[in-house]
Amino acid sequence: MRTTLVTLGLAAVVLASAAPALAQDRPVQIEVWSIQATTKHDKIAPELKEIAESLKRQFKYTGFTLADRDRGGAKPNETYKAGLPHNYSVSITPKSREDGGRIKMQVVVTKKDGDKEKTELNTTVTVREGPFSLYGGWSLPGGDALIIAIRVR
Amino acid sequence: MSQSPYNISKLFDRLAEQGLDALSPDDVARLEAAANANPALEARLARLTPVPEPIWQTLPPMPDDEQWDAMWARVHKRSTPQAQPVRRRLTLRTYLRPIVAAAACVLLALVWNTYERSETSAWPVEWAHQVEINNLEVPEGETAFVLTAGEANEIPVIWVLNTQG
Repeated sequence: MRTTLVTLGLAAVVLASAAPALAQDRPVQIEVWSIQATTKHDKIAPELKEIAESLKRQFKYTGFTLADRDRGGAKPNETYKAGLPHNYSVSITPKSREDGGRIKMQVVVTKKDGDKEKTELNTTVTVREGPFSLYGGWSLPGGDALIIAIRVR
Repeated sequence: MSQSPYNISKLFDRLAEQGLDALSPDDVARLEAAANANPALEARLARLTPVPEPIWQTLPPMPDDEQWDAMWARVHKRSTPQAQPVRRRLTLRTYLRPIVAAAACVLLALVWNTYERSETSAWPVEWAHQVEINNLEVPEGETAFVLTAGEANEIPVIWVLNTQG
């Protein structure tokens, strides 16, 4: 009995000490929303209400629709690539987990033009785990604009 | 002094029936001398079998096959183990160690499962109020700036504007 308890106790200590190292390396969950801002209608997706009104005031767009959702994951320094409407794509590379529940990640937005892929944005940001960070402004057909929302945890 | 054949013959017979102890030293010497002079007598002496000691003459006869079989049967019967296998009384103590080990495994599985489930559970929609920009690059002909959204203008948006044309 004593041997079993000692063994379990040792196992718990080993697991606890390994937990921080394991946590640092654990994969990052990633979610990407493609948002289409348009002037053709005034429908606003319920999820976008909080941001839509202020964007309407700053730009000409009247409608905001959720065009696509993508969910995946990547380990630190691995890249997760999500396809976006109209030949855009976004590559997200988690760099590290920071103190205070934050994650540093690189976001690269590209657009395919024939055989070439043009980088539209290359940024490294540090964000809190959970909430969406926003990136936008790329032209879509018909005068619409693409806004990308990315969240990680 | 010559040894008469009758005497030597009598000595030989006495030796054969009663053994060496029945002869005196003089008799043994006479018999030895006669054997040395007479090869035939020497050969007869060599063929003599020793007279068994009295104690050996009183031994019972060797057992026959039937008696041997009976004896081995008794040996086999008595060599069969008499003791019964020990029956352990099964109590909680008997199972305590495996139960504790199994409980530990179940607990670990539950903890792992709960952790996995929490990872994939519902992820409420929130908008980041703080975004630290470590690096920002846009292609030539485009400009990036940060605008704000939300009711209190607390949600930053990295906006890329095409400044060409």
